[in-house]
Amino acid sequence: MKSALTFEAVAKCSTTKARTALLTLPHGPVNLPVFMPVGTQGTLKGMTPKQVEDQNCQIMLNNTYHLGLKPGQELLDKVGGTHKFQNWNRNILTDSGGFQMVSLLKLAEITEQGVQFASPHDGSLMMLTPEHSMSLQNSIGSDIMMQLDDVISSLTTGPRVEEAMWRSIRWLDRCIEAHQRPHDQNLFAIIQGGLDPELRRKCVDEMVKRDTPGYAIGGLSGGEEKDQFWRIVSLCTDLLPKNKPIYCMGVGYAEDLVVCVALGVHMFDCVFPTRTARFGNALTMKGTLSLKSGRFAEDYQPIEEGCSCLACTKYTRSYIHLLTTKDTVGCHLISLHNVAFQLRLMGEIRAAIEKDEFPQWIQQFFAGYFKEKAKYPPWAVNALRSVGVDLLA
Amino acid sequence: MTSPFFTLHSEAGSLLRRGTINFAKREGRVSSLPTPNFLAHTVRGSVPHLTSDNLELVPVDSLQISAEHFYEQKEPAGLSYPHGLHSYLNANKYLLFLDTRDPSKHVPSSANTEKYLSVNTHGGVRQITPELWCRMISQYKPDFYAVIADVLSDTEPGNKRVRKSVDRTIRWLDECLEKTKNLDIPVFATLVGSQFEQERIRSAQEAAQRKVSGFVVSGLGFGNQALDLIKISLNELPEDKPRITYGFSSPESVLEAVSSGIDLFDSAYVSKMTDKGRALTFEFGNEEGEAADNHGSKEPKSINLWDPSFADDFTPLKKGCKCYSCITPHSRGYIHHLLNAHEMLGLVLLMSHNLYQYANFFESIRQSIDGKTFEASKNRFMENYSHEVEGDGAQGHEDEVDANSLGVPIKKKRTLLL
Repeated sequence: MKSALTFEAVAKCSTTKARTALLTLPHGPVNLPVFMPVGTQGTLKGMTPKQVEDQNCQIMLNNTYHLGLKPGQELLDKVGGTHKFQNWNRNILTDSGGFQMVSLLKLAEITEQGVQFASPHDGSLMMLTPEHSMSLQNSIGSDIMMQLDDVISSLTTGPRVEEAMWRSIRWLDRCIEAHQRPHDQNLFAIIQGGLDPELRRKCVDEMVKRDTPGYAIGGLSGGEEKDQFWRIVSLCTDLLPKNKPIYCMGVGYAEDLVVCVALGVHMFDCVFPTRTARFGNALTMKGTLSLKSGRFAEDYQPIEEGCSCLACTKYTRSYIHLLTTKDTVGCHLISLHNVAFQLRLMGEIRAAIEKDEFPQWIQQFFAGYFKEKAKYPPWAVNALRSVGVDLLA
Repeated sequence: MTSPFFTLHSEAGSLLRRGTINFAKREGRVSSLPTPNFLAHTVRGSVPHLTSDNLELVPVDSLQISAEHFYEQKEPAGLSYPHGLHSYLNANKYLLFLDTRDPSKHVPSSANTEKYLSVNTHGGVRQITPELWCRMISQYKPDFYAVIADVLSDTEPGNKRVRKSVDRTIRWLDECLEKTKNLDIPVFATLVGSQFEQERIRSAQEAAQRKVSGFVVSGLGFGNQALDLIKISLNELPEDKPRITYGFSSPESVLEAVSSGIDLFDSAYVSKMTDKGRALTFEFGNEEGEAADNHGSKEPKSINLWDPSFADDFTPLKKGCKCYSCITPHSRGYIHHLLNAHEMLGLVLLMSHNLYQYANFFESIRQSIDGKTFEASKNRFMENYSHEVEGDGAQGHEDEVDANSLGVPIKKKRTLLL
C-alpha cells in the first residue's frame, strides 16, 4: 500500500540484531530506535509542547479512544487535527482505540463487525469498527495510525488465538480500504498470533503481503512470561522485512527497551515514565529513586549526575522531595526528567550501535542498573544470549 | 555611593506613591523593584504549576516565600543547604521576600505563645521561635524579610489579647533585629493591633521607631473593614519606607490600596483565578481596549475556561497578549479541553497567562501614576468592569464527552411484546 514515510538504515550491530535507522515521517525525522512518550489526551502530562520539543522528542503518542471522547471527532475536524489543536509540530502516533475499550469499558465484546462496547456516556450499546477507527484517526491526523486489531489477553489459549489472528488480518484489509489519507498518514499493521510461533509466522506472511508502511508486534505485555515474550518478539523481527520500522507496543522499562532493541525492534511507547513520575519516582541509569522517601530530605545532589534536564541541572533531590506528590511543579520536574531519561537511554543505545559497541554498552548498562549479576532478570540474560551477548560471562 | 533602600518619586505628602526599592547588586538578579508592584505568590517556593523555565517567560521580579511551607518536617527544608534559598529554589533571578505565613489564605492557626509563633503545615502544627527564625534568615539569605509577628487569626480578639500581641510583636522585632544585624538583609516589621485603633497606632509607632527598612500590614480576616484599619496603621508610618500588604490582591482592592499608599502586594488573586479555571482579560489605563462596545453592560474581568462555549473557540486567551500561551498560540478551545480532560497543562497555561497579565496590570498602574492619569483610569476601570465575584468554573461542571464519536450505535432489534 501507499506509504508516507521513508526508512533509511543507518547502522547495524555486528553482534546483536540491533539496528539504527532514520525514519522520516510527515512531521519530520525520527531517529530509530526511539521511545515515544504518551500524551494520552493531546498533552504530555503537564509539559508544554515547547518543553517537549526542547528535549528533542521527535514523536509522541496520543490515544484515539481518549481524543474521540474528549474533545470528540467533530471538534478535531473543525480544528484540523491534533497537531494544530495542541501546537505540536512534530510527529504523532495514535493507537486504534480498541485496546482502551476492552480494558476500560464494561461489556466490551468483539464480534466480526468490530468492538462492541457500552457507551461511557449513557451505557447504550455501540460498535467500534475498523472503518470507524480509521475515520477517527484520519480526523486526528496522526503521522502513524494503527489498525484496529482483535485484542485478546496474551494468556488466552486455544482456537480463540487463531480466530483473533485471522480476524486481525481481515480487519487490516478493512482498515486499508477505509483509510482516507494514505498519502500523509501511515497505517501500521499489528502482528497477532499469541504465543504460538506458527500463528505468528502465518500472520506475518499475510500482513507483509499487504505491504503496510510499518509493523507492530501486538498481543504481548499482557502478563505472559517474559521468556515467552522475548521469544515472540525475536521471532517477529526475524520474519519481518528489514526495510520497515518495527514497533513493540506498551514496552517502556529500561531493561525491556535494551533487550528489545538487541532483538531488532525500532519503536516503543509506554505511560510508565510519566505515570510513575506522578508518584514521585525518578528513573536513573542506576535504578529508580522514590523521591517521596524521607532519606532525600537533605540530599542536595541532582536526581542524576550528568543528566541535562531542567530538574537535574537546576534542582536538588531535596527540593523535589519537598514538592513531590504535593505540588504539580514537583510532578512536572520528575516527568521532565523521566522523559529526558528515556530519550537519553535511547540516544546512548543508538550511539553505541553506531560505534558498533552495543554489546559492551549493554554489559555496562546492566552492571549499573542492577548492580549485581545475581539481580539480572533471567529472561533478559536468556534473550541477550540468543543474540550473542552473555551477560553472565 | 549606595542608593537608599527606597526612593520615592512622587511628591511628598501624596498618598498615591511611585517608588523604587533598591537591593544590593547580585549576579543575574534584578537589583531594583519599581513600585507599586507585587510579590508573586508561591507554594513551597514555586509559583503554582510553573517550573522555573516556564516562570522565566513571565515578567516577574520578586517572589513571596512563606516559611510555613518549608516547615513540614522536624527540620525546615533546605536549612542545611549551604548555598541559600535562591539556589535551592532555582530562583537566582528573583528577589525573594520571606515571611512566615501564606498570604493567599486566612486560616485560624494554633495559639502563639511568648516563646513561639505557631504555623499549621502539612506535617502538623510547628513552632517558630525567634531563634529558629533568625537561623532560617541567615541560612536562606532572602533579599528582604518580615520578622515573625503575633498576628491574631480570631476575628474579634479581646483588647487584652491584642495588647499582648502588640507587645510580643515588638519584643520579637527587637530580638530579631539584634540577632540578624550582621546579615545586612533589609528587615520589615509586621504591624498588628487587630480592630483596636489605639493598639494599631501603638504597633505602628513602635515599629516606626526601630531600624527597619519597611512594613507589612495585613488586611486578612478583617472583611470590609480591612482598608480602614490599614489606613490607621499607614498614617503612623514614615513616608520613605515601603509598605507591603496582604489580602488586597483583586484588581479593585489593589487600586484602592494603591490610592492609600501601599507599595507591594501579594498575588493570591492570580493563584485563585487560575485554580478556578479563569483567564484574566481586563485592562487598565488602555482607553482603546476599554472603550470597546461598552453599551451600559459591565465587562467581566476574566473568562471562565470551563465554560463549554469555549470548546470551539480557537482564538488565544486574550487578543494581543504576549504571554507564552497567547503567542504560541494555545487556543481557548485547547485550554478548555485540558480542563475538561483534567490535564495539568491547562493550569500551567492559565497560570502563565494570568501572572503575565497581572504583571502588565502593575506596569500600567505605574505608568498611569507617572502620567498622572491614575485616578481617571481607576474611575474608568471601576465603571467599565463588573465587580461581581468571579466564580469557580469547575463548580457544577459536568465533563463533556462525545461518546458518539467513539463508534456507531448498535440498533437493537425490537420485538413486540404482547
